[in-house]
Amino acid sequence: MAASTVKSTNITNIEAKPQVINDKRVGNLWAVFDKIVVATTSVDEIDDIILFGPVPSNAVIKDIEVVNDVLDSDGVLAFDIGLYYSGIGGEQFNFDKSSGTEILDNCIGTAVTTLGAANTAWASVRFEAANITSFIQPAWELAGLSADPGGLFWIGLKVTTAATTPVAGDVLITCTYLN
Amino acid sequence: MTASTVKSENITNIEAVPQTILDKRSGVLQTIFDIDAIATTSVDEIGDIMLFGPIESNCKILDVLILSDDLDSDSALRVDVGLYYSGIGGNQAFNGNTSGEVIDAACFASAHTTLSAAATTWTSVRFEADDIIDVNKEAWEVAGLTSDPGGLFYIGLTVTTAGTSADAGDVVVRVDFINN
Repeated sequence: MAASTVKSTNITNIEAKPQVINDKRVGNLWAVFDKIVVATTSVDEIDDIILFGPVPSNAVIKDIEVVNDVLDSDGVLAFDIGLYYSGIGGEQFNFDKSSGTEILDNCIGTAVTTLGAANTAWASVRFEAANITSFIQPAWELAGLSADPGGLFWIGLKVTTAATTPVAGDVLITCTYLN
Repeated sequence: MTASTVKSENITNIEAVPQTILDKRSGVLQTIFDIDAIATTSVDEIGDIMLFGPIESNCKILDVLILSDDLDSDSALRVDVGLYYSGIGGNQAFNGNTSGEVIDAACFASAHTTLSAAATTWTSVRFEADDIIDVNKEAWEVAGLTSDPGGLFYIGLTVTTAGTSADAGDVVVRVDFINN
């Protein structure tokens, strides 16, 4: 066999005639960070939800990272991580999508235990459940929608395994994206 | 008990009437990286300082990350990581604050091992000594100042335990921040 050279999607697009635009695959990296003081009552029941944001519905999400205090001394606490409507902007209000309405609760992470223990360096949860090829999908597509409703989305953490010894603490999330 | 939904600070601000601005909590993520070839004489004495930068005094620092060669074969080397005046811009020169003057030598990390072994992936030191909620503070607040002097700051690595078998090598410091 002879050695081969393969070209990526971007290079293939650039070298195509006519050239194909590398839409939202190059540009300024935007970031939003957000914080919440989580009470013990927010992690002690399955389906408790903690919402962060905002992220534009058409953002291509590069990473979602967390730093946090310990929220469960027993370390059993687990969350699904997904996307939720904000009810703000685009067609969301017209479609009766109010703040906190679930789109897909585990499109980013499934039963993630990262927040059970303290994290003092940013810990990525972006591809815990999502396929790495989803890095080119806008948020609405990542959430499984067939069209962009516009406006803002929230990032939601939904408890799948409740803390058996819940502890109140701070959680910070940073989402970086191209838009 | 029934399951509850709680909303973060940003969402609370966005849904407030009137809406509250997300001041420097959302914007273009800016990065500066800097590099220096460190001589053995820069890590062989307690109090040796390596300065990198600059960053703006009023930016919000998401991360401080380091790559390095091994600067001490004995792995004894320890450094504090903090913020220093540049003497450039704002009121710094007017206030008599010159380049390299310490503000808080250990506001990010204290007696950190990062330079005592080679780091070929980015090592975060942002919250080693600082509380995670300080990500919402501007640099001058992280450094413990009571008001913003303006201008530029430097990131400083100060030797707290000298290398006992100091080696020369490269150090790269990267800062990710929002300031728009």
